[in-house]
Amino acid sequence: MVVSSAIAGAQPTPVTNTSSTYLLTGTAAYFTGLKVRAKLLTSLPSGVTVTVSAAVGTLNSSSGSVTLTTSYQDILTSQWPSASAYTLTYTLSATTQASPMLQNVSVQYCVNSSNNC
Amino acid sequence: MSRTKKFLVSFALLPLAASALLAQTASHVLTFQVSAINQVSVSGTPSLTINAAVAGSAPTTVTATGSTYSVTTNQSSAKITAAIDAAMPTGVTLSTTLTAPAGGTSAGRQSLSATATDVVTGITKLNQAGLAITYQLDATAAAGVVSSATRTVTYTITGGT
Repeated sequence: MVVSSAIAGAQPTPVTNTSSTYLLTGTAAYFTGLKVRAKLLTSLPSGVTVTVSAAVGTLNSSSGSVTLTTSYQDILTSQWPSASAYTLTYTLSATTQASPMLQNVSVQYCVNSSNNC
Repeated sequence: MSRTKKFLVSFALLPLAASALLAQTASHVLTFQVSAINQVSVSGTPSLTINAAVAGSAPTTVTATGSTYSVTTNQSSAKITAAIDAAMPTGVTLSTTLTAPAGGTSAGRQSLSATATDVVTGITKLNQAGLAITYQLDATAAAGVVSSATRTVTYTITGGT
């Protein structure tokens, strides 16, 4: 994702990437009460923000757009397995305080029935 | 320019007993980039007419306020230059003054020509709108009567570091 434009007088324009997907597989009996949580493995540079939003099927519930940090946050709840892959939407935002850069960051997803992952 | 990658993340649960469910993880590597961004825009329709003088003095200078500019940069020490698309008639001078954004430095009133001149320097990592532009028109008596004409003033922001 590349933030490369702005309207004069405004902050740089955020960009969105919808090319990622996730797929939940497994036995239905074990999905009750499960969550999918996400966190960054390293901090983002000052002024840079990444959010993720997971599309869901009818039996699941999304937390909507979640700003990723280095602490786990709920992305999906009430999980149910699905034969279909759903879209993960990432949005990259940067303020003018963020210097030009090119970097990588890992997003770790965790599936668990509690908040201890 | 945009670098995108397609990922497929599979969260596969093993058939463990419900009381012994283990966390399963999967990771994405996101590549992100912030490019150098430098934008300036202007608004307003300034018009200036010199039509008076104090006897014994040069024609009276006129100014036009109400024009504004907006600027965004994520770099340090960016600057804005100004130039007009054609030379002014002999004896007529068009000048511009830009109010500096926070932390920047205005060059004060600058006479405009086809050669770009700095009007604001030291613009660092900011976005600010509605900054004032003041135009001034001067003419000597030797300029005579000058028919109405237009000039396009081009403001250019140049990135710093």
